[in-house]
Amino acid sequence: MHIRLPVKFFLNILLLIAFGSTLQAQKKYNKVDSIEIFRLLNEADEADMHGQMDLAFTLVNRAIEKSRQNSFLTGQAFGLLKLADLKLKTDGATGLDKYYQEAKKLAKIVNNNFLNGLIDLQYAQQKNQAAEFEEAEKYCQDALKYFILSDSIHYIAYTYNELGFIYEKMGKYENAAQNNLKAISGFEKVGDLKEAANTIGNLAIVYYRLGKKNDALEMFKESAAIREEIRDIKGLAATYGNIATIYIPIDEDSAEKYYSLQLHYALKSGVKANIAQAYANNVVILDKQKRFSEALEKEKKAIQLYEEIGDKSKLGIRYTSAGNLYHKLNDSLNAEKNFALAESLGNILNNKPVFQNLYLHRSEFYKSRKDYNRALYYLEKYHLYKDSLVNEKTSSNIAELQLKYETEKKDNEISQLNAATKVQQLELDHHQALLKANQLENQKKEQSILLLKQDQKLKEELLARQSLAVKSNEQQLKISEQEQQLKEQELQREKLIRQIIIGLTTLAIILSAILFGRYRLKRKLEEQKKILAVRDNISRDLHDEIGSTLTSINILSNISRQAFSKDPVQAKNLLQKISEQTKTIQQNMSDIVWSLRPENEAIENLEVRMREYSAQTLEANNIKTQFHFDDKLHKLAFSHDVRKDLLLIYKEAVNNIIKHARATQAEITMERNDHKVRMIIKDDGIGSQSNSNPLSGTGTKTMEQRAKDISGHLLIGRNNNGTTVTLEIPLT
Amino acid sequence: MLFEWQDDYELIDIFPDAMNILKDIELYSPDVVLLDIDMPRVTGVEALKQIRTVYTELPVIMFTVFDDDNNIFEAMRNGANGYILKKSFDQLIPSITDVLNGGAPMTSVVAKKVLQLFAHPKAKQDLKKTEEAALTKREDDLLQLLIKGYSYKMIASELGISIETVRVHIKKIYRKLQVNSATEAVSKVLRG
Repeated sequence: MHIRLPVKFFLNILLLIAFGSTLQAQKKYNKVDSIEIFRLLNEADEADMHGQMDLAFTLVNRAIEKSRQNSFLTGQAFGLLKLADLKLKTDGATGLDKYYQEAKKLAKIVNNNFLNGLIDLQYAQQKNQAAEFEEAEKYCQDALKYFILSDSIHYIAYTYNELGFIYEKMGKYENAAQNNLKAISGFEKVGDLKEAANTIGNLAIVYYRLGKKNDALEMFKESAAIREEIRDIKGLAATYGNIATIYIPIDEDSAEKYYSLQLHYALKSGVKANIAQAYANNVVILDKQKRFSEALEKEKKAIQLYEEIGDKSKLGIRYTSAGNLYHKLNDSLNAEKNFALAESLGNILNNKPVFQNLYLHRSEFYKSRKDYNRALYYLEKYHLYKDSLVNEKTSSNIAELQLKYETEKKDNEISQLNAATKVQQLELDHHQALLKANQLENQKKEQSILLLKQDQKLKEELLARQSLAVKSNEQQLKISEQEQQLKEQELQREKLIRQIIIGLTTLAIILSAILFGRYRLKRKLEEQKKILAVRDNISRDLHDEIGSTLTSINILSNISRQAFSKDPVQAKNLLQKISEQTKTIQQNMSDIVWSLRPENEAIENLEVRMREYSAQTLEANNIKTQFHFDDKLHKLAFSHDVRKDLLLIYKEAVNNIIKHARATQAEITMERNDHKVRMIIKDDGIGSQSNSNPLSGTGTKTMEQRAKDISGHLLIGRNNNGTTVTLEIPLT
Repeated sequence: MLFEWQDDYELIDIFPDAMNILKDIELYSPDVVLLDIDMPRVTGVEALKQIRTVYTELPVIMFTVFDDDNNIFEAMRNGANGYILKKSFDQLIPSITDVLNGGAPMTSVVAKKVLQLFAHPKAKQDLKKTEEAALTKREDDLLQLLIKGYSYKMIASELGISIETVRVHIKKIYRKLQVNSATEAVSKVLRG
């Protein structure tokens, strides 16, 4: 069983300290009317910075007292905030909320953006320390808003640093690095070397987490050099501790050297957390040298200090470590007692790393006492927590991706909003059409009025004629009367018909206007939906294939800029990496563009692209390649998604042949039957003898994921005659 | 910058656009001209046409972003000696040497366009008059394979000839393409 090594590694990781900022820059207090109070607070900051905690307390209390006497609310709020800060450092987090609440109340009254931001930021730091990361992130974002309003670059940088710290703890390393870099550039802008050094240290931790030990060491040393220059004692203790921690598994002498530096500065600073950290580091070294009783002595000191501060998650780990040491000293009673203490703390905190660590040590403990039943029980529990930790990490990664995806969705929502305004526009058009129809109707009415008037004139004329005719005879009169009646009847009938026709026409116009409007609206919406779906696809592709690499390039180029003058060799390596990643992007970009072009829907073009790729790769590596393309394929057309994923699976398979197979021949086949298309990539390489195990590699996983995305089925077979990759896609 | 470290080549000058390309060539009399295709005011293909009105033999190499097949085809039929893709920038110097010694490579899309041009009825009419500009059976087979994405090596083994022979054929096809384009232009002038 070789599980001991990873345990130590695990302990080491937990010992690294990231730095939240300590928030005592100059220019924080600047009102002229209360110089005395701000002078006191400034001096308190100074004392805190040099580790003179007692003096700092005295000065802050005096500042608060004076502010109260003068009813100077701003000063009082700043004082309370500083008091909470100092108490957090010396006594731990319990019972501090009341200071924040009071300070917040005062800040609201004086409506001071900067003060509000400072309160949120400091509260976020406390939440971070209590491992309530989501809360902490929320308060940081609030603080960021306030600081942007008050235009204080320095504190914007502090907030970015804190965010970087929080993301690092949440395992969102990419976010962490981004925020750290923002913070560094902010601190450099205002010339705050101390905080720049802090943040460089934090960035180093992110690198350590990503498994780049040497880079992390370089950055820590850079940070330490700056701290030496400005005599930052507390910072030096932590940085040297971090360096020692990294050295422990690789270089014991260096580890001891840096550990003694750590203890020296920790004692000098008088900050309990620093001293406890130093002792804890020493335990790891002594444990490694099998000096168990000395290690236990140091462990007890560390435990006592952590108990005084009230840092429960650290205590959980220390109890486990103490239990482990007792076990090695054959004191099983105390060992079990300490394990039990760690478990109860783990239960309070629901802290998975504490449990994982604890169960592994317990399992070891019972195994050495030949209590295999319990050893197995705890080992199983260890694996349970380990798996759930890994799952948690993956799920947090997924959550991050979702977050990014959300922002893209918002863009889409904006375009949907645009669509909505367009719909409104259409409705407006429709109204105008109705209005026009009404006008038409009015015109027609006017015409009918005109007609009526003409009728009347006609009548009048007839009447005149009648009066003339009166002079002739009555018969004529009668006839003319009859004629008149007839004419009137005729006129009325005509009028009626005319009105019916006008009414019907108007109705028809209105109806057709409404129906046409509806039809156009529906078509527009359908088109919009289609466009949105395509855009969704493209944006996801760009994000997945290009975005992540660009982020990496961004980080690398920032670091290489910093390394350029100090370490040209490293800078050269970094530039080489940037150049490689840029090439990858070019490749991916070209694939995405290719898959988007409508003319590439035809399968012949996929065939062309596959042949060309194999010429650039297999042929260039002297691997003889044969192609078999089924003629039945030629009638097929694939959608954008399918052809992209098919091509990328093919490329990955071809790349694997070049990297791992040591093949001399390859055979590529595409065929179809009624239900599916099958792609087979076969080589005559070493197959199952390949000592790297690409089955579990990320390349294979990506291939499987891509196959799943297009509801295909991927099969990888290996034997002594080589490797065969088979992909089947159902035809729908 | 790249050219400063090379013994075989010397960079004479760089111009932001091709407004005065003929005067510039007269002034410096270069051995090779590298032309970007996407340039302000005058496109690379336009500039190439101008150059060819005066300098029929001066080697001109197009230097372009991604595999922009349309422009490559236009450039080749207007007398470019070859093209280099910007994404293979690290291959720039050997590519220049390659083009000067052996002629340009041919991609699937360019091959398709070449074939279309030769299959065009008007072109066919004109080609009957100038027999040497028509495609031979071998050249036609070769283009068909290129369209399917075959590499030179694959073509060589498919047709049972050497890679060198494939290259010679490609060179001939390009030459015929230029002749053909020229006759097309002439017939246009006669008609217009």
